[in-house]
Amino acid sequence: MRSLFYVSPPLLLSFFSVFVLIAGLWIRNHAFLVGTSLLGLGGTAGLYLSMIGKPAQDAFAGMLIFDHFGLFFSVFSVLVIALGVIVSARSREIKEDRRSEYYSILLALCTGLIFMGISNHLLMAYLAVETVSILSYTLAGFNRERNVSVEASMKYVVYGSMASAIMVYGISLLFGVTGELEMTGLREFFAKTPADQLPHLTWIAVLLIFAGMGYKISAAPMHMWTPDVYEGAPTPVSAMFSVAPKAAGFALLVRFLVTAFTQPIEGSMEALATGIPVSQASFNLVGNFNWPLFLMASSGLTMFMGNLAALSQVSIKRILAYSSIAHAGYMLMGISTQSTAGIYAILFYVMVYCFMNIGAFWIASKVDDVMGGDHLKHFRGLVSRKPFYAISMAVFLFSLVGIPPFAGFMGKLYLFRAVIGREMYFFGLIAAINSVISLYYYMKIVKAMFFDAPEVEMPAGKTAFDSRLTMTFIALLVIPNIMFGLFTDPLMALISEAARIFTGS
Amino acid sequence: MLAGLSTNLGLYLGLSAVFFAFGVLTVLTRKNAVGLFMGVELMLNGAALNFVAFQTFRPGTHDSWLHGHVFSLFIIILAAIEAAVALAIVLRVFAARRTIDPDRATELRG
Repeated sequence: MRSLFYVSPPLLLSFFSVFVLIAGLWIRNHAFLVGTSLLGLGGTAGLYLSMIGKPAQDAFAGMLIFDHFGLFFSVFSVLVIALGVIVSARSREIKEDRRSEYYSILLALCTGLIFMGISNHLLMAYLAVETVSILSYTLAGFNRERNVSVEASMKYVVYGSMASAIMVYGISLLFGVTGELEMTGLREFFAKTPADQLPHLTWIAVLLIFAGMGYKISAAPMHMWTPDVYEGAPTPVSAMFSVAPKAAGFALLVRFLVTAFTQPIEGSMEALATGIPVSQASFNLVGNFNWPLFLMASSGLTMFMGNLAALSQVSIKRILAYSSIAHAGYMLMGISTQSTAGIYAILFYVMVYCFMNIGAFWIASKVDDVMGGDHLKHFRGLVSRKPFYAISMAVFLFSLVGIPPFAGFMGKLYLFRAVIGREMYFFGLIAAINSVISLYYYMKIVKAMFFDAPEVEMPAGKTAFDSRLTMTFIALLVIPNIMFGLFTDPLMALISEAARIFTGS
Repeated sequence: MLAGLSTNLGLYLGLSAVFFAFGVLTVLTRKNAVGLFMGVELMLNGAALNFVAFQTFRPGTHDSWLHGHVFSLFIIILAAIEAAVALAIVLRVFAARRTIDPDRATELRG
């Protein structure tokens, strides 16, 4: 019964998911569907907020774990999906007769994301990843009259099913070596087994699992599906894909690496006792395996792959897709520092990234609706036609580049500080070079919006797309981008509370 | 308990590795989406076989919970779900362009 209490929020969400699906058979009212979905998400968030402050606790015989880290990502997933519902509500890309299915799938997706953040067992992690993946395949192909949408979902399902098969094979090998599937059990196993007695099979297994999780966060070389899927899928869906599964993937990856493989050295527990601030504690990933080199290589490769490929793109959705790959690389930087400061930086970055990226995709979706395309030429001269959209887009893009005083700058600052704090200067330099490369393609969009003459005629009959409500919500996304750039303390206080799993309390 | 079965763990692992390798080869070489998903099934079955073999030959780790056996059952279930969704998508692809060769789905490039 105690375990049931901890899964009550996802249970509520599943109930609403089924309810929206069934009620949608009779009630065709769009506002009702959106309202019910938001009500379900709000209720879930409320239940989670009431759980703040409870001590870390495992449930269902160690399958799930409830701590502030999981809570952070659960609330975050609910937030992203709620934004997704709002973005979708005004989109032309979701056909009217399929709306109830659409919102039902979104709520179920949110359940999967929540479980990705709180699983403490590799079986649970696999189930959660598959839940998210399978629902994502259907969402990518939701606009099934458009060939590109169908093609996107096929490419997604091909890459995705292969990645999850690779991951589950890796899990089976890890199970064979250790006899454990629970992450805390794995930690005990690695603590009592000397590093040089671990067979090399362990690291093959870890590489395979990393490949499977890397696919979720679109880390190179498992990133190939990303641009095609983001371009082909309906834009509101791409907006969610670029944030929610990626954040949940990072939650899972961080929990897996830190729980199973970590031996604290300047340990967090001792740090508390001796008065070193916890945010300066570092940890070592165990084993006869070059973790720092592996993680740095993966991070650097992901950054370069994303940024270099984005340079030559003309479709805004594709640019944003490649930029989301690059951002996954930046966030991987946080893990490769193997320090608590790095983990804090990831959590901060995930949070601000949500606001800037969903905002950018939303504007792309709006421009697509009104101009009939999302290429650079459709953005030319946007400021003279839709000044509000042009200015908001500029804020989101500046934030994505990391220009002060926007939130993206603070996110990058924390990441770089974690890297410099561990004296990885060369790696920091690579990341800085990447930031400079990314400046080019983001500024290309800004230049097109503000300094170029309009190129494409606005198609007739596509008006009434900027209601007051939409503009209010876009403004609500702009505000955090500025606010978190100026006042980071409240968010950092929240995050240091969330990352307490690394202090052992 | 193991009457008629080989008691050599290595044989099972070798077989599962062959399954997995053939699965990967199938995925990489097939020109037909349905065949490609059969390759994925092979990879998953390799993993399931691993779980059952490890659980059977490494007693004492988790006898009472049977994690390995349970995991292999879940793999079978999820493989079925994934196949159902994948085939539905393949049907849509066929309806849209009269071919299910993934290499000829080339509208998204760049």
